[in-house]
Amino acid sequence: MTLPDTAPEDPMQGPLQDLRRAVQALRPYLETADQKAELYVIEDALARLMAPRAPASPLGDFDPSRLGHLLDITGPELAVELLARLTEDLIATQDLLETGALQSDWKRLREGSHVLISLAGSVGALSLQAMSENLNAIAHRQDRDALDALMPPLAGELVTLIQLIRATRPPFGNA
Amino acid sequence: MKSSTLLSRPSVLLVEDTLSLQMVYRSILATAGHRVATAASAAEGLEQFRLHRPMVVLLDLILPDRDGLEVMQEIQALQPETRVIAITANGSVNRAVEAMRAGAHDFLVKPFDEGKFLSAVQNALAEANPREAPKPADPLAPATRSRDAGQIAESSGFIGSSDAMKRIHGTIASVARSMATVFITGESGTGKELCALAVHANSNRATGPFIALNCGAIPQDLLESEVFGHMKGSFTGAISDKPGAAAAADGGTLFLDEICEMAPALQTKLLRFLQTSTVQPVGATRPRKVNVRIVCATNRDPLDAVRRGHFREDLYYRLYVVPIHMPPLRDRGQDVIEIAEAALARFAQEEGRQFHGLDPSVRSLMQALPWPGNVRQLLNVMRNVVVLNQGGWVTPQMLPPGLAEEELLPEPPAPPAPGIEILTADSLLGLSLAEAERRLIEATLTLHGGSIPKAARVLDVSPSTLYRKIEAWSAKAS
Repeated sequence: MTLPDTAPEDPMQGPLQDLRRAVQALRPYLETADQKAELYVIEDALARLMAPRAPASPLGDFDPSRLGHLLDITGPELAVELLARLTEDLIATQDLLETGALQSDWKRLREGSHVLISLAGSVGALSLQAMSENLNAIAHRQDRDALDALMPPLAGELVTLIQLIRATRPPFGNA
Repeated sequence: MKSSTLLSRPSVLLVEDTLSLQMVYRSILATAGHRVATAASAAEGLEQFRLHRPMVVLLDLILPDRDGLEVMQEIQALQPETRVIAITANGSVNRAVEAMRAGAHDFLVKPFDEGKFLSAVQNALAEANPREAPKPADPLAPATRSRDAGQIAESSGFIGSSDAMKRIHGTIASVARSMATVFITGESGTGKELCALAVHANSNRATGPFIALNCGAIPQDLLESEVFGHMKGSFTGAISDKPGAAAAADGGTLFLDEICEMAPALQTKLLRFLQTSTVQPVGATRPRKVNVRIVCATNRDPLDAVRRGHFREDLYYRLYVVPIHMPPLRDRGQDVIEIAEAALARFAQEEGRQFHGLDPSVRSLMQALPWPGNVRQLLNVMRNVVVLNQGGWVTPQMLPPGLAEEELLPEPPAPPAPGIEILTADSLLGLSLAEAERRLIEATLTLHGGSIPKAARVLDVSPSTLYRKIEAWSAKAS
């Protein structure tokens, strides 16, 4: 598997390159098909992490009180877990949408936009929610041109939202 | 089963594959005191359902391993009394509508606030377990028994055995027990309110109140108070507290007739009411929770009202869950004869007359007539026949004059008769808006021989709107 070239200004790329070298160094020692399959999974995940992502763009319309309210609902003892799960769900959705857009896989785009509508709306990312609703409609009518126009701003806001959730600290300093 | 097991058995199953959202929903339910089981896939959901047999299932319709609708149907087959609340995202509301048509109790569109979420769960639990319901239904009441379309037909007050009416009885039988909003369309006089009554009478809430409100017949500035109530002193003339139709219908059904006539501001409040199940009377400081099923009706094309901007699209999708179209009488074949004979027998008994039935020529004529006023017009004709004749066979001569000749003609907009003022835009210049409206209505009525239903069709308003305006002019004049 060929991994993409890196963007030097991205701080994640240094550690990722180290990891890639370590993974490649492992290859001669793996003998069974199962071991090679496991390595492939790691390489695949690395490839996705190293792929150039959409540049972050500011959230157009964000209501921070909604995220705060979600954290209140779950309570301080579960806030860390909620933030972690939100991050995982958003990243999984990001993968689903990027793959769907790359392969014109309308089913993935429908599924991904369905989840993102709920997630974005729940945490208060209102413009991202609106874009997700638009994406869902585009996926239903399988409109490639509209998809190409919508994906860059949507992906940019999604990156920002993920960064924002990652940077959020739960109430009462439980992080 | 031991009582301790019963006590710890979850009453709600939450099937949601987005784990962060599942976590939030579970926290909301647990904080409200509900015992909750959770699942992140269709397979896990069905496994949990078989294990706990909960009374309420919150079911995301888009799951990774299987279609949510199929899961819902399997749950309903395993335990028909389970109330399924379908969950979908904004943008996929059509899936929720499909679910409601397939028997879902209610639906939620993500993202939703916790008040709306808890309200839907509490209503579903109350319906599933009458002991928890605000106004429990009588367990011996007919509504609590399973009824088929034939029984519905017998009890609904609808006369007629046409295929069109059989389909309507079937729809009522399948939808009556759910919380699904029923949207009845049809021309004036086709029996929309009877249909709404049949839905109520065959539902679990038949012992509760049935409150009918004609949105077109109440002045817009009073409508909010009529629907949601008011507190004493909240505005001039509010001399006492008034609960409003929505509160009066608590535990029963609220029938909103001529829903497309509702003012936009009130549509917003109705939408909020549907989302939160709470009412806040004018002047009240706190909202009050109510348990109401909505049935609404219009003689317009509701989608056209949406396209024209007269009706909110989100409200339309919220209300237009189970549509029932009442067919015009001219499309109901032999029903016209069955209705006429039943009416003849009833009116003859009321008036103390002896009629043998309809002459064959009258039967033929009745089947050929277009009946623009539908069943209401036919009943008026039969009442007229009974009142003005002593008895015997009903012959064409006994029918109201002009019925045979005029009604068979198509309805071209007749040219103005000599002496009738032709209304032009110029002739309206300089008048107030109210006066211009009055001139237009009067001219249209004159053009259609004073027929309010015909004028209403041309003006694209409901007949009751015209009746109301004419009454207001008369009151002003006197």
